[in-house]
Amino acid sequence: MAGKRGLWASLWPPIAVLSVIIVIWQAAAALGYLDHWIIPSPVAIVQEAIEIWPRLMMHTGATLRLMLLGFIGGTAAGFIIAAMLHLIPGVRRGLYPLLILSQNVPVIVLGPILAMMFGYGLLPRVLLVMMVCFFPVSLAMLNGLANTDAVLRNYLQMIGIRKWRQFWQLELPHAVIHLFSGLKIAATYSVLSAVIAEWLGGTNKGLGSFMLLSSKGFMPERVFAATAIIVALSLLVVGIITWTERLVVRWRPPVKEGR
Amino acid sequence: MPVSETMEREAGQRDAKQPSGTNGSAVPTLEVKGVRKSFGKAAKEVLGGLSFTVAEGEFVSIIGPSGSGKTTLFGVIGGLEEPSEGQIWIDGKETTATRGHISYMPQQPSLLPWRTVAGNIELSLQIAGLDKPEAKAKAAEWLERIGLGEYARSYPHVLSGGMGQRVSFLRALLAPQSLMLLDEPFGALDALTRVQMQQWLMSIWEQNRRSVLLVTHSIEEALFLSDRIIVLSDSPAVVLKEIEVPFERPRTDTVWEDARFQPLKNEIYDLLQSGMKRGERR
Repeated sequence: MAGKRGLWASLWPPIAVLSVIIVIWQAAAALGYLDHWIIPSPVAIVQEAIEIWPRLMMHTGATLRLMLLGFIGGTAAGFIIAAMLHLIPGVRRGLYPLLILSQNVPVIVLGPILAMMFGYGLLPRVLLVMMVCFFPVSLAMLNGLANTDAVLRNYLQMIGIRKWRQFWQLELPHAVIHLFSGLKIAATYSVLSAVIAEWLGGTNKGLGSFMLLSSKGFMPERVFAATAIIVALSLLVVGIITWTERLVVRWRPPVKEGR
Repeated sequence: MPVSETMEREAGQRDAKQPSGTNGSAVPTLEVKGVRKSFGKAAKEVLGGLSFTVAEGEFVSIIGPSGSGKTTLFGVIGGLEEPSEGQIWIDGKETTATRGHISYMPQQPSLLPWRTVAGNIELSLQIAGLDKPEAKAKAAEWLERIGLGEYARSYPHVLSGGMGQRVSFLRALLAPQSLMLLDEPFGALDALTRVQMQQWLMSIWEQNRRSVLLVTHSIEEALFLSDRIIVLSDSPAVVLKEIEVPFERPRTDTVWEDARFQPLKNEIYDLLQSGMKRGERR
């Protein structure tokens, strides 16, 4: 994995490009090329964000809570269902196609149904995020559990390993590598789906409802500030998961070639 | 020498575990009785009625052309596959299609990458039926003895191919099962490492005579290591001949210069040639 120097080497080019874009943006706004009631200048966005910082943080906290509840719940459900599908013979053949098929239903359209079933509390929103996060985790787990190294499996079966131990010692550790790629997808989805769940109504807290409200009130600085925070949240959760992955799979041989 | 002392002690313990009263020593460790195996709808026969034995403390090699069903044979002996016909007996009990009666060293080291070197040995010993403290103690003690003590807490990817196979052999040797299956254990190593590994294995095995069934492609390897060589033909595999290897033990590299070495090697080579022709005719 990349060391500190490697990390910086891969980080500075995109940061430089981003800085240039922001400078051009600011210049365009200052020279009057942009309508400030549609696209505010970066400086105006920062000023507005500082002014309403406590409110912004309150909304961020609400979104973060929804995100985490949905992500943890969805991951747990995905993990357990994948393990069950893998361990109970026959179940996989029956449920796996349905699992794939279920992804053709856009989860957002289930929002109103969930609201009808569970009212306008926190529960329908958490369920929505869970349903989005669940799929990538369970799919990654299932593939990881099923595609273990044939040589290792043959060795362990030759010396008489039993099914349960094979699951704990071979299949699960192997699936953990795959699991993390599923977790990263689920984490980015969790931010997106939490904001959308808030758009669907039933709450006046959270970045999603704040954006909706600010947009209706023609306060573009606030919409842009909320957007920036959502992007930051997304990067943060993926960063945390990547870091956890490095801690957990320390046994992996170091990757020598850089990309 | 502490190595041989412990080995004798452990060998003694193993003997003590076997039921007394019956003529225990006369029962072969492994009996393969008329094993046939066919695959698929076309019923392509891979094993064509194999019968042979491995006596207690005997080192037997199986040699045959590539694709002569040696993998299938090991699968049947290990209990992974059910033979179409015939039986497997280990230590005087029928074990056909049941697992956990053998210890095994495959062609690749087959170490779990997420467990340490010691952890890998411990896991295999626990699967073989040892309790955890006993497995831990044995793994630590023996890694030290074969000179890999400093790697006990390392992950397997730091080991070289030869070191990996030493660990893999140790893992099979320490398991309590009385039969060891070695599946082309040095096939993936370079020629020099291969010879070193053969001598290393021989020195450890001669101090602790377990019953061994080795599959190999190398006639020299079979002659150097074994007491008896079983020559197989291909498609389907049948026993062409069993050859007693006359060299005295302990064996050193002077075996290569023994006057009887070259004639035996030629005999096996001719047998293998005829076995392959037999296969081609079909």
